[in-house]
Amino acid sequence: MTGLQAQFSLKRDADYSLALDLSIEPGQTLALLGPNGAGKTTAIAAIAGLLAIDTGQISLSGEILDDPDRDIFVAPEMRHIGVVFQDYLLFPHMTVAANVAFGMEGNGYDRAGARQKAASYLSAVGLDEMARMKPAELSGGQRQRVALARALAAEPALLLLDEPLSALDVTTRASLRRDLSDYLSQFPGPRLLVTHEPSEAFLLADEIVILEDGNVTQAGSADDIRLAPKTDYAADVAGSNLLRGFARDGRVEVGGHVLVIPEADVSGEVLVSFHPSAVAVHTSRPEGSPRNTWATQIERIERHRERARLRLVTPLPLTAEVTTAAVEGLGLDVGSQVWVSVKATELRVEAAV
Amino acid sequence: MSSRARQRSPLVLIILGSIGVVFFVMPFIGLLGRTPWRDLASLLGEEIVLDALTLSVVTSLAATLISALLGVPLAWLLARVEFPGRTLVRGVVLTPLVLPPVVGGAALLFALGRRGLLGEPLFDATGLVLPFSTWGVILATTFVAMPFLVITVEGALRNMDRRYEGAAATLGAGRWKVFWRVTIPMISPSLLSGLLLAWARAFGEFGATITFAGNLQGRTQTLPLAVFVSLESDRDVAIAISLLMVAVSLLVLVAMRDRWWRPT
Repeated sequence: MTGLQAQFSLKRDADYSLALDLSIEPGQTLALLGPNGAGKTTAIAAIAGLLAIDTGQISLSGEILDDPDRDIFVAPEMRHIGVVFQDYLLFPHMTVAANVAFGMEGNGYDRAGARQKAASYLSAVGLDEMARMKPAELSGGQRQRVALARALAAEPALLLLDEPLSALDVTTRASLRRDLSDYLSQFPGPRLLVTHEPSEAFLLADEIVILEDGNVTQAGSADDIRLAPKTDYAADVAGSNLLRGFARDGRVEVGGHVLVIPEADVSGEVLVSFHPSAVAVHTSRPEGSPRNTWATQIERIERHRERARLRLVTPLPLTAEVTTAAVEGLGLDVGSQVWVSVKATELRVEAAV
Repeated sequence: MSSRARQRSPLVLIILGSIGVVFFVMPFIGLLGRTPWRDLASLLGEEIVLDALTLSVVTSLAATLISALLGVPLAWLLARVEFPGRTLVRGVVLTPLVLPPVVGGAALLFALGRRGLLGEPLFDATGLVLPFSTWGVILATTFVAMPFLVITVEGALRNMDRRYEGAAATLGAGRWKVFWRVTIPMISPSLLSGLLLAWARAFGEFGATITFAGNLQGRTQTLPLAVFVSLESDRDVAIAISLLMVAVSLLVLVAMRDRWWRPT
């Protein structure tokens, strides 16, 4: 067995328990997506060995880390699991370099060797000049990078990231998300990203597991979830269409197609997001047509209660949400040619850099 | 708040507060007024003073060291390990904070005196007699001083964000490394305060010392005991020693003002 297998439950108190079932292959990023209080941080703590599970099993690279039935519990310091904590937990009394070197000592390096290697990890995240500073002197974005460098420097077999971007302001978040995606792709082991931000999950993860009230309510690719959300939460937050494009003069070019956006002053690489219900579906070209109108074809239809989600392909891959009544009324079916329109004001545009 | 608004404190508080200040300042003025400044240097150079000073420095530092060695682990147990009777243990450990020191000294005598519960077998086995020895002074001062360290360090351990220790563990640090490289540095301001408090208490210890260790110049007569003796024999020496102790105490309190009793 390779990668991470975690299938366990754990009860923290009378009101709260967590049941999780996930596995991550090396080189794969899985996002654990859920609202605040769903148990995401508890899941991280259990996998890292900071909490013991009650039933089930956690194993990594074929080694059992926690299995109450067999009375196995590997201490956190023996698990080789790197964690980037939500508020980073950089040791305040140590310099940045000492923080990064901390996990390397006794890991085949002496103190001097660890410091040297730490310097190379710091320059990899562009922070060599901060080596002698204390964490309190750094900005939020710099701390996040140090936390990542510290976790990676210990050469872990698995990387856990707990809301790695949530402590940052919006502009820093966008630029660090790009960097984070680079660092993640360079890490050879399994990666588990915990987040309550759907866009983070969609952009950074290969697979998404949705956690609500301590239970997994859905697992699958971003497409699976967008198209066939199983719960209201999934439909709400994981339903967003997300397109990457290039903005100029109030327009965004996405894969050869041009969308009109409300902001004229945005330019460069952007992410355009909008809810599936913002996509209007017509059987013929709408009159007095909004500017963002185009013809497309229905590839799939998924029904969830009184709503239906349509998977649309060319020229833009996106999801539309209509009522099931509309599906019947308009006679929509897989393969139907339809016109869709999206109001410019429904588009959320943010810089992708 | 503007400075004009602040001036409008109730008059009653100002008056009572000022009386409080006078209450504390008055004895020091009395002491300073009676100080034989011209002979001060020679008074402080007298053998009884030098003996007591040496003994006080040595025993108070030794008591601080022992307090750290035993008190930090004790604070750890009280803060981190759940065991039956923990509240009772904490109560017993902190009793010397409120107990009259002379009672503590008497209790030590019953336990560790030559005919004491533990003292007798100890003497039979090793010939060691603790009371009326320098070790007795150290023991008595440790007994009254260590609770200050324990209570300070325990509070710090409880207030510390333990997730840092968890973070260190995920980075491969075993418990010992976590303790030395993360826990101790993170509580170091409180630890330092605790050490200073314990030392100051040991330095000024009187009742337990005189009860358990007696008052033998050069062996068990620390500075406070020397003051007590000199008040009867040579008042000027007593004043000189008192002044010395006031100076040292003030120095220590000023040194830790930012760490411990800064109002926030």
